Formats: sequence, C-alpha cells, structure tokens
Amino acid sequence: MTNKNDAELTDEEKLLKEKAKQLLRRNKTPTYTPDDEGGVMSGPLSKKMMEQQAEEEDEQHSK
Amino acid sequence: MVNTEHKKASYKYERLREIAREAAKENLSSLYSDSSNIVLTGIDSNALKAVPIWLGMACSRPREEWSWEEAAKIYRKKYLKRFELAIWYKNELCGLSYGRPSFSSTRIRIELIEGAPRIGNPLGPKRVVPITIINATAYAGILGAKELRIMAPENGLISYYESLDFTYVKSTGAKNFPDYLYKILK
Repeated sequence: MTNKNDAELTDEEKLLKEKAKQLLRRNKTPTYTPDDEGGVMSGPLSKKMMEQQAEEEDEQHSK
Repeated sequence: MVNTEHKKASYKYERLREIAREAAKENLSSLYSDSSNIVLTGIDSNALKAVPIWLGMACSRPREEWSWEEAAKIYRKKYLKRFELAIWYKNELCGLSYGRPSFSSTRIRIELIEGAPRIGNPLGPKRVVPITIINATAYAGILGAKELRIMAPENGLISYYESLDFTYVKSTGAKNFPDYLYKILK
C-alpha cells in the first residue's frame, strides 16, 4: 500500500507520472459531492447486466 | 511465448495503474487535510476480502446481485488495460471501481463504482466518487485519453454526476448503449 518514491521510478515512468499530474492540474474535480448513502453509484445491479456490460463491445473495445 | 508476452503486458499496465494512483494520491494531499489516512490500491485480495463487511451494514440503496469477486474475474481476465481502484481510509475499505479504456485509449469508461454504506465509511461516501474520478483522470493522462465516461449511473445520482462537470446521455434503448455521462478532458 506504499507509494514508490519518485527516485525509484524510471525516466519513462517519471514522464508518465508528470503527464498524469498535468491532466489533474487542468481538470479540477470538486473535492466533495452532495452527501450520499454509499452503495452502487454506477453500474447495473443485476448480475446478468453486469456481465453483459463487461463483455460488451464499446464502439472501440479494448483488451 | 504468448504467456510471457501476456505477463509482460499485465505487469506494464499494473505499473501504469500504480503510477496513476501515486499521482492521484499526491493530488489528494493538496485537497484533504486528512489525506495521509487515505490509501489507494488496486482491487487485490485484501480488498476482495474486505467487501463482505459492507453487506452487514445498513444501506438505503438497493444491493447489487453480483459480487466484486465475480467482477474481478471478468475484468482481470479480459482487460489488461483496465482501470481499477480500491479506496481505503486507514485499514477500512471505502470504495471500489472498475472500468476500461477504449481500444485506442482515447477514452476511459468507468463501469462500476460502489461506496461503503455511510454507516461504515470513515471517508464519507461523498468523497468516493471524486477520488475515483481523480484517479481515472490520472490514468487518462498516462494513456493519453481525452474523455471519461461513467456508465449506467444510478438514476438518483445523475444530477450528482452533472455537478462534477459530466454531461448526461440517455440510452436510446439500443443494445450495448446504456445511459452514460461523459466529460471531455482539457
């Protein structure tokens, strides 16, 4: 559960991390949402639908 | 040979998810004064073992008929590039999510999000979705994705997601076209 120190990242990994941080700087997410009860917030409740959603092709699906 | 290639690719994307979580975690430190208590991991065996605790907690929202073990089997097997996140507050599991990028990684679909019921969620359910979106944004930065989607949102939560700058698109009823919300990343 511990994060690697930046010094342990390869140069390529440092670059990727910087790209992640840049996108986070440009796209601020509100830090709190209206209060909520928890539970399923996105995705189907039925097992069949969950499996179907996970199996379905997006327009450009990905492995 | 194929197996070795698969293992290499699996390791590569596991590292990319780790880097995304590190970037997200650093971002959280500027947002929450208690961020040192928030831990981000993949959906590993510890997370899967902790989920059943949620079932013993009262929650006003309907329960899913599937288990995270079942979801994990599908996403681990089918999607090496998957998005996955477990959110902990100290040692208590507070939220889980799975998703996947499109073929060319131009967008990331978040397909499942669940928060621990309020009664057993020291993080507070209201922080589960923002942290999930922050992590998905970081992963999008690494993959070069320009759009986030939240698939099949709970009906009562559509305005909740709209407050996070997502735009709602209603299903046409066509197969493989559920309701979703999207956000174009700048």
